[in-house]
Amino acid sequence: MVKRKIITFIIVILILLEVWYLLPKPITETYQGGSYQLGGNTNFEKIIIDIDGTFRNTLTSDQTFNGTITVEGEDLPVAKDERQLELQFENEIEGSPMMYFTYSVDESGNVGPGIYNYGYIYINKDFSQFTIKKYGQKEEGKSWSGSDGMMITAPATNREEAIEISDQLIESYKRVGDTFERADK
Amino acid sequence: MKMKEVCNRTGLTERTVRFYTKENLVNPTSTERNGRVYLEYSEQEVDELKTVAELRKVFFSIAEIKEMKLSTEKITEILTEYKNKLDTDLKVKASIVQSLQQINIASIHDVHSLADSLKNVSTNLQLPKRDVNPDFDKFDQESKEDKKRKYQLFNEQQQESYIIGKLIIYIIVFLHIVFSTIITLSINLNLIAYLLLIAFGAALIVGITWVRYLFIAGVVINVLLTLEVFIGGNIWSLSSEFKVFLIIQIICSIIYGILLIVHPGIKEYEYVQKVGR
Repeated sequence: MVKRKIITFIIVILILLEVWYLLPKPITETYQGGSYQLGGNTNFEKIIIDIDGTFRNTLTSDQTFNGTITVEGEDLPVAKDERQLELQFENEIEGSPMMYFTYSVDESGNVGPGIYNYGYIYINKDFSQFTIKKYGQKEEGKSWSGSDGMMITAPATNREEAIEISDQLIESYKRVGDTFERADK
Repeated sequence: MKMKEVCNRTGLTERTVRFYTKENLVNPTSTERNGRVYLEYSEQEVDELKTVAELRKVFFSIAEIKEMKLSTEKITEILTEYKNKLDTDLKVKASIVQSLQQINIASIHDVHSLADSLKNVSTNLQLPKRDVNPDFDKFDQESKEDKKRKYQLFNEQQQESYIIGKLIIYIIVFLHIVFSTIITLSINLNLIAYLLLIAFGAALIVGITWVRYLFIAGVVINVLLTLEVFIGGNIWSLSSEFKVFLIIQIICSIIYGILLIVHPGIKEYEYVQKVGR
């Protein structure tokens, strides 16, 4: 009888824990971080990044973020009501693309859906650290390179600290001095 | 309806309902599971029980009620006899009361002096019918050894059933843990969910009934999800090893789902875990 009560108690506790684990948790944080370019540059522009949304775990240990990530002072070519992001952090795939789903008007005046690729974001388990590979605009389209790509990292007060966090969060790239190379090279 | 509801509806005790049932005044449907007989009463039988109870309250005997139920033509005859009997009883009881009033209670020291005092009334009366022709319980015709042997045989059957049930439960839990572990590793199920699955296995071993029903529901969901994978076209994204695993797992799930529903040994095992031997 005691065994039955203990196991029932354990099951109830585990169910409550699982429900808590799966419930979306609000995240509203302001981070001090920096924007910098890889390669021979030494620049490091201090920036403030606001994160506002909900963070949710799934049954299969994946994570989802719904909300906005705003770099204060940045002029983003996306309408304010279209800045909602849905980021999926799956176990099998490192990081998540940061895509804004937008609507644009073409030359004929037709409204159509579009996508604005901001970059690729990597986070740690509790979203207390993150780094973004920010895409640059090239003639053939948006791209990023480990040798001279733009990065946004938080929390960090200087370039060295920011690159160190990026190195920890991005496992598919290895740090070579002031640049990143694909780890499988 | 079950015994509890019958008692609520009729206001009779369980013993009374069982007595009337044993006397064939009502005939509920009986089913035997795990060596126990379960009775199921219909609305009509509840009405019958109420009728019998009303007649018993006004002193109709079980035999009289049975006879009137069997043949309505006999009702007039039985009623006339019943009235005469009551008349006689009334007279007898009146003479007993009169004799009792004449007795000096202080002079009664034992049952012999009481019998002597009432002799003028009792001499003209007959013994009650049940004393002349007592209806011994049918089990009393069996010898003590027969009863002991039957009881022992019943216990042996229950013990055998318990052992088979225990074996099936342990196999089910073993397979459940193996499948849960493979699925957890394959789809990266979170640790709390995995521990919960293990706890459900442990709950099945200690005989928690609602967990058994949860397992049965789990089998149904499992079958539907697997069908969705196979029919929905997602099967091509899976490795051949995982496809084989899914097929084995679904076959085992169906088998243990059916066993959990129908096998009497599992119910016996659960019963023993609950109340002990």
